[in-house]
Amino acid sequence: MHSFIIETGKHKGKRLKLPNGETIVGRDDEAGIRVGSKEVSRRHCAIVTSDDELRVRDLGSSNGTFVNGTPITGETLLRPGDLLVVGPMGFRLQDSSGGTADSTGKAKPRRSSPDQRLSDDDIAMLLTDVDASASDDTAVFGVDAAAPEPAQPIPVAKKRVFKTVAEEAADIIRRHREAGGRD
Amino acid sequence: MSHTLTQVIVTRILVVEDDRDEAEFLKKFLGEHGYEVQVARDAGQAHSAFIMNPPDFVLLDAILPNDVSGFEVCDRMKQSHAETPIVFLSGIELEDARDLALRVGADGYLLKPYDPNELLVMIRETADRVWQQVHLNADEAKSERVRFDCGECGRKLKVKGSHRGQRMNCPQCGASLTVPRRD
Repeated sequence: MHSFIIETGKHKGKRLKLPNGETIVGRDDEAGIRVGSKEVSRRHCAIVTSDDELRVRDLGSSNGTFVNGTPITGETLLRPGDLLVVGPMGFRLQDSSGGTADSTGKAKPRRSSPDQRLSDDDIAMLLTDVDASASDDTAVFGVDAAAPEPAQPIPVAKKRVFKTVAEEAADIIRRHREAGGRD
Repeated sequence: MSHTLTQVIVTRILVVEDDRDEAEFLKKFLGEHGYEVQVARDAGQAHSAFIMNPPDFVLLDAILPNDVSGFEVCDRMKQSHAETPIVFLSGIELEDARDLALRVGADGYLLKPYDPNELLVMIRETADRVWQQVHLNADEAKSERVRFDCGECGRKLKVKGSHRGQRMNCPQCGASLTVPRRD
């Protein structure tokens, strides 16, 4: 079973196990992983897992979904050690042994701290208090005691700024049409 | 003969829809259920109809011809008549579209294709809810405080509830902002 290590917020350092199938990340009450931040769309991205791989795709979110600092455009394969950023939250994918790996694929040792798994209730409540522990527009990533700091700073998901309703509406309609939506 | 609250409140519905078939269907369907329907094909017609013949309820397409979207139409209508319920009938699935619709004051968002009976229920429920908000919660609304962030510099702002929908400049960076109509 795949799992993430949460890199930010109240649950930093905890392990989040992902069931096979599709898990929605977003602000929506029905999201499998709920992130209570205004930077996160109600249905922000989908994580699709199977026995041998994990993929993520953006669901037309306002601020984008990032893997290792790069905004994703299509369905993207995540490898152990990859960092998924959704709004102010960071999730690092573990390998099957429970450790993480850096971007070169080199496995990091398992965390020295006790394994802190989240219960289903924790997951349901996940990060609704994220704004209390992370500033509204800055992703703050902690340094894993057992892992070196990334060589490159992790880019922050920049909030798109629209000066007028017309500008924001035009952007939404453009994205709708690009996704094949009809008028 | 007894009337429900909605029958008393909603007599005339303005349908803003550029698709002729859709508009004709709505006119016929709603007419059969006792509503008087006026159709506008674009933003210009919508504003004229709204001023000349004020409706009790507006059904609004998000994508309209002539580069003025339903979002801008809603924003303008709500600035002058906040008490008129407005529901979007839209083919845009993006969560950002729902968010923007709510922020410009829409009272509902129904995704196309929709069940006509669901539309009837939505008209009744929305009309009742808005009527109660306007007439029963007016004092409460005046004393509330609206909290939101400046999209430009991120400063947290707090203003009176009576300022919802009004424009202001951020005291920190001077950016032009609109106080959200909804949280």
